[in-house]
Amino acid sequence: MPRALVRAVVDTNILVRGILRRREAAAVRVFDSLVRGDFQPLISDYILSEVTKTLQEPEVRALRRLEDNEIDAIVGALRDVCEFVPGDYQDLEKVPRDLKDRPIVAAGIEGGAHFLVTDDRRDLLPLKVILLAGYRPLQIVTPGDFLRHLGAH
Amino acid sequence: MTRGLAAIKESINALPMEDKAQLLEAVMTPQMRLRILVNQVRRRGGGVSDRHVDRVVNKAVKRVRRAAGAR
Repeated sequence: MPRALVRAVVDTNILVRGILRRREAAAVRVFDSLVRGDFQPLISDYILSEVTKTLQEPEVRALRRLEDNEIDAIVGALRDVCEFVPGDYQDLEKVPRDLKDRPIVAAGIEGGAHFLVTDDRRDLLPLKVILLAGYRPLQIVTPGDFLRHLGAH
Repeated sequence: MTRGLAAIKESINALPMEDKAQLLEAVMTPQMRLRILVNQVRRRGGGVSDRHVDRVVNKAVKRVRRAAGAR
C-alpha cells in the first residue's frame, strides 16, 4: 500500500529564500523537495499573498531582477503544486503569541498538517507542537529538522 | 519509435519556436513549470551572495507582516 505523504505548511520566508537562493541550504532543499513532491505542501491565500508581496518588495526584486509577470507565474505555479486550504481557522487565541503568525498556524491546523516548517526562533519554534482537540498535532520544526524527518520517513 | 510517434515528433520539430513554447506550457505539470521558473530566477544576479539574499528576504517578510498588521 502506498505510504501517505507527510503534510506540511512551509513558512513564507523559507519559501521565498528557497525560490531565490542559489546554493544548497536547508531552505533550498525544502523548496526543491516541495517541487519534487517529496511531501504534500499546504498553502493558503494568506501565505500566497505574503510570498507575492515579499517578492514584490523592491529590495527583493532587485536580487534577481524579478518582473511582475515572473512573480505571478511563480506564485501561480506554487499554488498549483500545493494543496489549498482556506487558512481561516479562528480558535487560536492562546497560540501563537504573535498575531501575525496565526494565519500560518491556522493553515497547518486546518489542513491536517504534520509539520509547520519555519525558522522563526522567537515565536513559533518555541511552541514545538500545537495540540488542539479534534485536529492532528502540528509539530513546528526548522527546515533542517524537517529534512531529517523526510529522509527518515 | 512507431511511425505515428515519429510523425508527431517531426511535426513538433517543424513548429515555430513560439508554438513549441505554447505546446510545452500546455503539457507541463505545475511541478515542471515551477522548477523551470525558479531555476531561471536563481541563475540571475551573479554577484549577490546567498547570505545577502537571506538578510534581504527576512527583513522584507517582517515589513510585509508589519504592514498587514497595521491595516
